Amino acid sequence: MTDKIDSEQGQSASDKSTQTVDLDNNDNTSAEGSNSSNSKADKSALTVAISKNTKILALFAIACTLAVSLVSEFTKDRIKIQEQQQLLRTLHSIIDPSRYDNDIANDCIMVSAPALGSDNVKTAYIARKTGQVVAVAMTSTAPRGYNGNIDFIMAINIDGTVSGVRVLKHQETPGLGDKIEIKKNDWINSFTGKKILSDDDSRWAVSKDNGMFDQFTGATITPRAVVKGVKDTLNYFTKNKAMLLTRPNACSDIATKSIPPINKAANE
Amino acid sequence: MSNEIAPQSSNDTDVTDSLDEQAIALATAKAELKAEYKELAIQGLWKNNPGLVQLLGLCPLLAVTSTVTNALGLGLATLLVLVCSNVTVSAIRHWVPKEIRIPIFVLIIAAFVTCVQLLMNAFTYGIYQSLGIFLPLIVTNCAIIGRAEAYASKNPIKQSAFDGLMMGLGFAIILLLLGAIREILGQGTLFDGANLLFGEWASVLRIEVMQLDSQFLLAILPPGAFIAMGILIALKNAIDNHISAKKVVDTEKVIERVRVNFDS
Repeated sequence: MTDKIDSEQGQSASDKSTQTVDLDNNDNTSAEGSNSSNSKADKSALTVAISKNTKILALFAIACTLAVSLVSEFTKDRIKIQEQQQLLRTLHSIIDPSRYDNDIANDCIMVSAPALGSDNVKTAYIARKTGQVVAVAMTSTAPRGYNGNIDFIMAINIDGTVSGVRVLKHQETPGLGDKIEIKKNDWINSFTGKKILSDDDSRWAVSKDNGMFDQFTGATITPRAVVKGVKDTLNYFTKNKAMLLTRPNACSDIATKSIPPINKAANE
Repeated sequence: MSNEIAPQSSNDTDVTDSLDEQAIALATAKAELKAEYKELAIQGLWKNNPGLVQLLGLCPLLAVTSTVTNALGLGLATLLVLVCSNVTVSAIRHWVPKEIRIPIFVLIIAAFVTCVQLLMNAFTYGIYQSLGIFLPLIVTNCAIIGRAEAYASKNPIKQSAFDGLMMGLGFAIILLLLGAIREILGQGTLFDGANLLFGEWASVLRIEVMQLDSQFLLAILPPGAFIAMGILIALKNAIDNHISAKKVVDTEKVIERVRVNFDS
């Protein structure tokens, strides 16, 4: 009788039935544990049920993992191409493609320095024309944005002028701080062609701090952080130029694999 | 109604031919099926709309709807996952023990979401980036496991697929509505960035509804989403009230006419 009632309860409370059923099982075993003759048979029935359920669960887990890994295998190359194209598009927007002739996405060095805003290893892509370095595109981070770090990439010409800056990732307020995106505002282009004269060039600040870059109405912290980040990166590059450019290429191992997508992207 | 009449007519003719009965049974089954599909559509799109009535999946609903394009991207992804998970859950419903069905449903849903995420990463990279964390978060959308548990685990595949389609559509429509309201108020545009979702040709879809000197921040930020959502729910309730009030008036009128007929 109790079994029947229990099972009915389990069905009616369909949402919590897993829990109730588990509880029921516990109750049954504890209640019938006193009848020593029945307890063994019940326990073995329980273990059978448990092992059966475990097997079914494992089967489903395997099937789902298989399906996901199949899709992952199928889309892997395509995702890589997309990421490369995205990278190339960004690089082209800050270094004019006619200025270099090397395979820029596969010519890079890894840089890690506190001046670049965070402890993560940063990638710097090197643009060369007939073997001579013309510009370097460095990924960097501006800490102390309004809502955390602002990741950006900036291209620096070999003579120390800024070729272009693009924000890659940020969490600034939509409508206020997000004007640092090229999609929303062309403020970020105000860096193009600028040069740093000394270590603490006072012109490299927002106009509220008597600098040469505008801030946004209602958002000063975001542009201030970006200006500071760009300035630090530029300073770091000019100081360590010689050391950076002699480093071996860190991206060449991928080069042989992904030449077709890059050619394709360059043709676009 | 027609179902009840059909067996009576067969009694009148006293034909106990099994073929006839079979045909009638088939016809009633068909009619029932049709009624069920209709009911499913009404439930998913209006009466039990996941966005407006069940208020499930509010997190992506409010966070992603800053533009129509984002809303459409998430709506389509959710719709796809919902239909696929409903079909799968329905197909395996006889082999899944009751005790472990929830973990199995979660597994299936997570697998589908991961697949959709990978596919969107591969083929619609721009929208994948702008949806960000909310794409994998479809896993936690209660509307999906809710439909798997409440409907798909008890019903045949076809109905479950239809149920998933209707529920997904209901959710996507609310997403689109919210996205449209917020994009027009916030940026004065519609379909901004549609090229991220459909490719380059879609950039012509962008409509400049009105020119705004500065963006209306409240509409873009999450509070604006809450307010717009509240207004949508209020509107839905108002329409429901209006319809039920009208129905009452209609039935009263009908009764009156009947009485007049009897008197005459």
